[in-house]
Amino acid sequence: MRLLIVEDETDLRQALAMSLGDEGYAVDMAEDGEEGLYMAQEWDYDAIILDIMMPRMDGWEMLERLRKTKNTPVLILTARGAVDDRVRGLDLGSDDFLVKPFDTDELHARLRALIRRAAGKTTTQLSYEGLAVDTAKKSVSVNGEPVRLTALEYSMVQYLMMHCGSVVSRTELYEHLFNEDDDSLSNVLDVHVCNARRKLGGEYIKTRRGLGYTIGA
Amino acid sequence: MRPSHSIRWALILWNMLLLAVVLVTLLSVHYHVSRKTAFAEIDSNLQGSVIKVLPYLVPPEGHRGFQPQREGQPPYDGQPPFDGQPRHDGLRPLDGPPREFIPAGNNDDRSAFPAEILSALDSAEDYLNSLIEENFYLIGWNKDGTQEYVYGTAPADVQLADYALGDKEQLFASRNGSRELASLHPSGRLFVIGRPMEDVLHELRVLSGYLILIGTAILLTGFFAGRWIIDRALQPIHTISETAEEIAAGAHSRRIELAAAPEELESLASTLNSSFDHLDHALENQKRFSADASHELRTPIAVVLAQTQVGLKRERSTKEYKGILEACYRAGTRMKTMADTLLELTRIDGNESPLNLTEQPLNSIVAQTVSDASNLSDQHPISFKAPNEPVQAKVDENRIHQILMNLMRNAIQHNPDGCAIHVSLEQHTGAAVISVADEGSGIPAESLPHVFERFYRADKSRSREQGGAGLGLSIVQSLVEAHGGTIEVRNEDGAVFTIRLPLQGAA
Repeated sequence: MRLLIVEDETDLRQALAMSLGDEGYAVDMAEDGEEGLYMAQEWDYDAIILDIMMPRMDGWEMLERLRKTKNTPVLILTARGAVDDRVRGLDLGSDDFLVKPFDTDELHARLRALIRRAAGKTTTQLSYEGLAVDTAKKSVSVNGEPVRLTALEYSMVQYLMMHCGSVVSRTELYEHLFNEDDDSLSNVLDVHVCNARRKLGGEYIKTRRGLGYTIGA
Repeated sequence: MRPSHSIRWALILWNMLLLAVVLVTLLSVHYHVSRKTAFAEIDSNLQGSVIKVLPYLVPPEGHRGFQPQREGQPPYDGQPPFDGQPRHDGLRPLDGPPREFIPAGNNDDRSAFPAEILSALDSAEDYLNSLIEENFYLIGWNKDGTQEYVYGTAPADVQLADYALGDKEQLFASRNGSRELASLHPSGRLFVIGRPMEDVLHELRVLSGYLILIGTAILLTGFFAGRWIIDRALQPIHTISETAEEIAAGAHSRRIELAAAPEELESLASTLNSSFDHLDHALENQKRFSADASHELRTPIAVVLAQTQVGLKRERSTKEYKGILEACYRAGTRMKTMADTLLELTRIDGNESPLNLTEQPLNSIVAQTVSDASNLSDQHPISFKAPNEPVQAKVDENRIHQILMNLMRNAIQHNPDGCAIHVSLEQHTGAAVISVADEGSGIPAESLPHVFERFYRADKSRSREQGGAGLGLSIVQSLVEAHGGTIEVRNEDGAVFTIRLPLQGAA
């Protein structure tokens, strides 16, 4: 899962990046609305965390302009918590609203819910033929037996399960697992897929040559 | 509502009091005039009666007189005298032999009198008869004080001593419900003619009864009419106070309708309205200020919370912990600065840190500040222009330094390197004018009216870390105003801040 944080407050931006990185997200950061808008349009993020009061371009404008081209889930994270601010944010097309100061656990839960809803799922439990993924606990089990995966392997399995039944291209998978600063080569992905496939056992992760990977298609 | 403190009741009371005084005066005047008129009528009636019956009571000039007592009969006893028979039996000419009386039926001597005397005598007698029928009474004393006659039902206790005329010829008096006229005749006789006043007194009683009734009716009408008028007059006050109550209860946007207020209350209403506007505005400002302050505090708090949560989530490297602590320290410092600034603003506004005012030349203070500010940046040349003669003003040196330092720091921060700053001090009539101008791009027109507002940041492109909380100019304005001065901003070649400080009687 790859996120974009648009926040002008350096210390807060870094704290967010650290805590979301700990959660296994690939995180990109932007310092203001202009940069944020460019990046949000350039990449397909799973969710965007957006501040409102920012130099150069504020969050309202960025959201308004982003919505003309993209439907990326947006969570507004702002110190302006008045009702009309919330209403404005939601009406402009944001998907959630959180007021500073916030609890990081709540932020994580809201992001999970946001990503889940965007993928059309309603619960934290994803399952396919004995393979079960709990997105809240970040655990994977096969036929009830827990499987230990690395953070990256887990993210990959979760992403494939989120899009269960359809083929995910290598590029797409790569883009959602690594942030822009990551210069891992794309064949690293094949190694991770290989490892995950071995740990899960069976033929859950299938390769569609020339197309990408899939679970359930 | 206590009646003693109610305008309505006070007005009603005064209205009633005034009405009552006027009514009592008018009605009693009316009563007394009526009484006086009635008495005057009686009196003139008495007087006329005396004149008419006089020929019967006093012998005509040149005659001895008549004797009302007949021989063989007891002296006149005061009983109703007239039985249809005339009392007098004739008058004797003075030159004739004196006779005490003339036997009844013998009227021969009457021929001795001129016919006009006799006819006057007769008509007087007739008139006396008619008076007695009307319950008049007549009493007469001769000059020796002997009672000569009593006609009619006179009071039994009548004495000559009751009628002390002094040097007057006649005297009106009331006695036991009768009106009497005591009249002294040139012959030395004293007549008293009286008539009972029962009828007149009764009329007067009836009149006074009517007057009391009318008075009461007018008072009652006055009470209700007065109350109605007063209520009507006070209605706008009620409306105003009702509106004020509604506003006090929370309808802050409501205002008193000026169109409905009468002329006298219009200025009160408009004063109230402008006070409400002022309060509303102050309340809004206060609300916005609180909201802005809490908003400004939320960000550093969010930093502290997010950073510490990250740090506590799992074991981290020393470097990471150090970064977290540094971020928390920065956030804490920011909150401290903001708290200090807010406290300072509150102190200046609440006059809690009074200015240390001393009379001194502004020239050196401004020059010193300019030289201090020059140290802030090598890239922003600051020029200073001041008159040769010292501009003496009563100011707090440290505060003036703070004000100018703030303005120059702003100019340096908001303008690119190489942008010059011009500071000038001038003396105008009654005011010292200090201006701080830069050659930058100026302040956006839409921001000009707001730059002194708290938490307002004109330059949105500057982040909070660079631009502070937006309180600097608020402090400058508060400090200038504490000196009794004014500060204005306008755009010329760049932003120009102009401070005017009064030269005498600085606050």
